Amino acid sequence: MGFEHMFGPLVQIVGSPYLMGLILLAIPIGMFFGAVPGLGGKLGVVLLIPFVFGMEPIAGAVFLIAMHSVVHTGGSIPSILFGVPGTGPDAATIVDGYPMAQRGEAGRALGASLGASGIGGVIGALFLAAMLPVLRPVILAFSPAEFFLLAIFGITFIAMLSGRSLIKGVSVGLLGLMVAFIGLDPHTGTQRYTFGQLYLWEGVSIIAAVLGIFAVPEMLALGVKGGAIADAPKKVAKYDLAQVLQGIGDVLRHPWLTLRTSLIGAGIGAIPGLGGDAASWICYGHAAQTCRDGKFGQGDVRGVIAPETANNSKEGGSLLPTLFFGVPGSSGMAILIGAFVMLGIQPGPQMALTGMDIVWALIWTLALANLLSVFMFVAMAPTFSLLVHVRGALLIPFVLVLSFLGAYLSESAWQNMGLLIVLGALGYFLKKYGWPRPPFVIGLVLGPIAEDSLHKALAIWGPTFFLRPMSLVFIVLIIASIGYYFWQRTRAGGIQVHSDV
Amino acid sequence: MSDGRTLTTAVMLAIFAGMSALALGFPAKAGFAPLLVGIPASLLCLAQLVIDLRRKRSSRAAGPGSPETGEENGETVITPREWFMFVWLAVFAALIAATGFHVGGPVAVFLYVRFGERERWFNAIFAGLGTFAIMWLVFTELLELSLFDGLLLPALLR
Repeated sequence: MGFEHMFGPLVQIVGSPYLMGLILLAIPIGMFFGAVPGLGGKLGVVLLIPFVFGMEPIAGAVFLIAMHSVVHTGGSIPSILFGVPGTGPDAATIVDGYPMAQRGEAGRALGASLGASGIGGVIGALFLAAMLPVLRPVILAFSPAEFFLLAIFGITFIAMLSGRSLIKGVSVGLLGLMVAFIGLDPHTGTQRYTFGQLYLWEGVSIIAAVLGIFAVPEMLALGVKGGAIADAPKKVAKYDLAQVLQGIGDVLRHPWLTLRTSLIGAGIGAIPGLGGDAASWICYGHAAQTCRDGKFGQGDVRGVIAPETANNSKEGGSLLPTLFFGVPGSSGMAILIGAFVMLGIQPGPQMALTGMDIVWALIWTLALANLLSVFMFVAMAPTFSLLVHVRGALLIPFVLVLSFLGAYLSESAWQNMGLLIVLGALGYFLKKYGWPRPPFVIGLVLGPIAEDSLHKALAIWGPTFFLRPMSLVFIVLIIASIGYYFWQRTRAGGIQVHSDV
Repeated sequence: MSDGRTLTTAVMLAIFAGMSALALGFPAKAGFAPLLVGIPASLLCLAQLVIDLRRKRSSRAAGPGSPETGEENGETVITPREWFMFVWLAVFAALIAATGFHVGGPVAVFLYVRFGERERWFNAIFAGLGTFAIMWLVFTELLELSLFDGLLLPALLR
């Protein structure tokens, strides 16, 4: 891994007005999806997919990663100003950010959030870069047996962490796997669940399925609820630039806390499924435990710094399993995998051999987007604070049209619009009755990997592949994660780790 | 089994059971993975169905004032407002499928904003024209994508 390999993509990005323009365009879009409560990064990626059709793989990936990496930067705006989290992981910012705003320090809280997000994002990218030399030999040592169990581990883990019901989470993950089996069987050429439909021979479009299971139910729910997207007070806390700069200064005055929580966030992000809420709450808890002189919960700036660094640094960490194992670090990353595949980038172990230029381009994009978002945030935060009052009536029809467009464009098949409606209706009821939807995407993405690896492992070792040393490690991890779930359920008053359903 | 919560579980069970049954007809190698997933999934959904039915029975025993009853707990399968949204979803699909994205998309947006949400004419026309502008300028001109023209419109224009 030479100097040229590492910095070549950076020079390529910075030297290209087109790529820099895409990053600069993606940042306010990402902040928009973060700042409007209920939208979030997953929906952002899903809805931007139609816009990256026809782009070069690197350009499309840079655009999507830049957008996704700054979602939580925007998400802190409604958290601090209104006490309404822009996205799930931003909820931890409310605990101290909102009291700060109430006592007239909204600008300072926003500045702290901004500085922490920017630095956290950059450290997350550096964490990913630092892990590459360690991870590469591990990835290359994995056999089909390990990949099969890794896929099962990913599904189990995410299913358990994304909802309150183990049965529902796992079932939805398995539904994703079943949908992934639709199409021609790669080993025998048998048609599975195609019902004679030619367009299903290649399998269900991940993009159409993701749009159906995420975007459509969100819009249906918004339409059923009616009114503004979030119930936020009309009055916005006032602040000035001096306060924002003071907040950024606060981050620099607490360098060790910033560094620690960034690294913890990145580490948590690297564990499939654990990112998001867990990263921000664990880092908040870490700050509260280690800064004993603080008044956490009453407007301590360190209570803003800790979760915000974690929110952005976890993105770098969660790219690790996503890119190199094809196991999404989070549900947002699962959707990104779908988008990458559509762009012609196939995440998985081969990335370590042939795709390092893309990996480095994504690392630098993460760092650049987080850095540039600091300046954009200062300029645009007042505007973004108004987004919390956006009425669903104006958002719903446009998002629905974009969803139909994305479903159609994914395979240039109009039949995908039918699939969108069916999965949209199913997704709505799953959402309504507490069936977590992120495991569906994980199952859908991992289905082909799991099946292919299972067949290969059985062909090479037979059923004894379960007894290989690394297989046993994964089996222990799967059992441990199930044990963790039950331990978490029985633990009263602990941190509730679950993403949106 | 008239409540939405139980019905959703039953639908999930039916999906898994149906797909597992179909997998029995595949050649052994092709059916192996679907059965490996479908059978445990069916059992999980069956267990969830039992949980739902027990919860329903206990909430009935607790009486109508119980917090476990009501729409929140799935007593109403589909509310009128939900029907309203599903109908609009179908309208969007029908318009786009018939007349494509350039015509059907903006028209659907206009109709929803004006007649679905009773917004002002100006807002509805602005939303419709804005959608058309994005479809045409961004997707057709800038990204040079070939958008679906619809199943009906090309035949009518021919």
